[in-house]
Amino acid sequence: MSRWLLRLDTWLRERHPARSTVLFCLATLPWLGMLWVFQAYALWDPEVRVLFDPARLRLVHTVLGLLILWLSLLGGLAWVRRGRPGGCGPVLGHLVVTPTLLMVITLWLLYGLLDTPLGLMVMALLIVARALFALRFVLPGLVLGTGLMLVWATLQAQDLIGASPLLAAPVFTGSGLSWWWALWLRVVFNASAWPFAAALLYLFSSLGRHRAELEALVRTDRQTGLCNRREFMNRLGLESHRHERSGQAMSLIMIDLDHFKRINDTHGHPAGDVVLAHVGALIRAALRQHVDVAARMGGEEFAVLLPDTDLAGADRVARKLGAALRMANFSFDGQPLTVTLSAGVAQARGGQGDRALRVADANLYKAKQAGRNQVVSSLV
Amino acid sequence: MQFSTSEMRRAIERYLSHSTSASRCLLVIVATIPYMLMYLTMHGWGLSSPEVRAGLHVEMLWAVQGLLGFTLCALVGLALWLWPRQRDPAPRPWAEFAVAMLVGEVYTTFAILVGPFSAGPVLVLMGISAVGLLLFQWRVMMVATVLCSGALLVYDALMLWFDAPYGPAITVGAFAHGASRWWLTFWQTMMLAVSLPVLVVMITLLFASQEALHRRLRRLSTTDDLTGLVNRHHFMGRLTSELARQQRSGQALSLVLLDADHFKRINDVHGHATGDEVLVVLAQALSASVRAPTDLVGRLGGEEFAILLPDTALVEAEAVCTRLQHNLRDWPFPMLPTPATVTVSMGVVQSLGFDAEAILRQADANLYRAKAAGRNQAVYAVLRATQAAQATEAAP
Repeated sequence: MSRWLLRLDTWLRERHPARSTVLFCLATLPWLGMLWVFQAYALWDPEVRVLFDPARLRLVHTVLGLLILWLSLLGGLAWVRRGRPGGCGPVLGHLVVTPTLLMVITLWLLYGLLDTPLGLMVMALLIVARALFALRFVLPGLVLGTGLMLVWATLQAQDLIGASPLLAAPVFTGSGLSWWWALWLRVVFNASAWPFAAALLYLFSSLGRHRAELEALVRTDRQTGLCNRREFMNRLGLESHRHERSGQAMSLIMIDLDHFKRINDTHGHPAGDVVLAHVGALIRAALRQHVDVAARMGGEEFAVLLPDTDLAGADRVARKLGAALRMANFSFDGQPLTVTLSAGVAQARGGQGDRALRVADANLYKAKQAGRNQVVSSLV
Repeated sequence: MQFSTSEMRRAIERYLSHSTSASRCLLVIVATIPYMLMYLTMHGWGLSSPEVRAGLHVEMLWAVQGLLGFTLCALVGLALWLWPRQRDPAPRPWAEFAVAMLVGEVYTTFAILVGPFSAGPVLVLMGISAVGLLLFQWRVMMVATVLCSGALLVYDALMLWFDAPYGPAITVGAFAHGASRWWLTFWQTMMLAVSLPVLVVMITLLFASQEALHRRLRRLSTTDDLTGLVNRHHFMGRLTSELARQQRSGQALSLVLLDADHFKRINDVHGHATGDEVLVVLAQALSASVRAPTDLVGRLGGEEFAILLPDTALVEAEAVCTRLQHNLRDWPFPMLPTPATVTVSMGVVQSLGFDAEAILRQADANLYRAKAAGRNQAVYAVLRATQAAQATEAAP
């Protein structure tokens, strides 16, 4: 289910002109076809025909049939060109969207503006059109249609046009519905209202999803999947504040990969990227989810924030990470490679997270000086 | 049109990010009450006019008046309860649900009474759902929508199996008398006049923010957050596609790999925040020194940058590097104590017919040599297909 939604998402996001045209025709032809079949039956069955003005119905029916033919033709043309990178230019979009919108709005006016559900179909159509095309494709139909409706409403207010010019009498006249209108109303209503409501719910949920995705993207480092430095500093500020209030221990680890530049130089940057991603995964696996915060601070430098953890605990985590990295089997250009890390650990005191970070950094420096591949810990 | 849409979208997004759940409930209540008062007045007027009454089932209209009165009281009561809490950031799903249901229940009743399959009241319901989806939690609106459309379905079942009338509030008389017909037409037209603009605006805004979000996502995935230059991933992609183009055009391209000198010292002495500011200004200096828009400047990570110069031979690349060094000599870095200049070391490669890996490796080697030779200089090389050995020259 969610995979299909994702695929729909990408299609809608792509906005390939030919593919959009194909989808638009696929979405609208069932609606138009349904209305056409109803009208065809009304023309055929004399009992139903009396509900309409037959001459006008024949004209409207022909125009609707021509539109269906037009959409099938252009849809087919777009289908043939769906694979081309440019598709077929923007013309096709205008040629399908504007006539369809105007047709359905006109049908709404002809069947009865106030007592038919065709307005719902107009809105559903608007959503489909806007989902597939940019605003400028929908605008002409929208503006013309609104103008048409305003003129129509004015003429109706002057009693120059009846409420339902296509019909012998309006759909609903206060007495019961004829079986025909009971069926027609139900089918048209259900075929428009539910897709419209579903589209609305789907669009808002996908908007929410994308917003969440964006927020996650702003916070994470893309190469390792850990937090980025900005997010780490934010969390450090928050956790320092909590640590000050609760009095629980809080520790920090600064990690730097040993001789990372050498890996990049001898095996190329892609190798370096592989190592970074692996270290990211190792750190993620070693930490408590939702409690500890790990970040890539830049280059080959990482930082870990461990709330409710004392120096001994943090030291253990750092040593465990070092051991896990030593055990990892990298192999580049056919040569096995061992990567090690140096780490500095510090425990914060009195809510001074940034001070602890500096101490951890100094300890990291000491670890480097003492020959790398080791952990140096100290209280602040 | 485009401009005003994006202005409106930004205003709404600002409101959404700064408002509390309680204040949004209040907003909806304040926006709904005038419409409910309007219908209350219209019904009262209809009830007082004998001609209009002739076309309607009066007891139904009285029931609707009662419902409207109850809903208005409930909304006002809820508003009074919410008013002192409007700055409280706590989520209030139950208040949201109450507002959605109180508004939804009125218009669902309207829809049933004038005929559930007509456009007006149902479009109003749709408009309410759209506004609700924007302001309230998705889940809340989902439940409210299901309940309201469930009521419509139940009435439809009553019509199908128990002969319930379509449009139970309206009689044949509503279409016979002039005043009655006019009243009904006005009532229904108001529904459309309220709902259609709201829906069109909502749909427009919905897609506008969807598109803005996609643009931001795309920008985020191609640029470096700090400097605004393209990120490593995007730079590598561009390098690959330029190499593919090179195969057809036969034009050489040049690549500059560039590293800020003694950057670690800046970080250690002045702190990471200052270091970041230096990187931002350095990125500006780099962008100002290349030939926009053909040359591409990217940040590969840390203090390492790269410049891709398509269709550029080494001589021109040298000109770019010289200009860059010249610009940097008196480029202001206000965050550093004066007099401070930031210098860069560069490894430059001109290549024709090599892959990205080989070019980067050579550029990196040149950069290393520039660093080793005392920094603040560029080392150049030409990668030629015929000779693996490169003609290298060092320049100040």
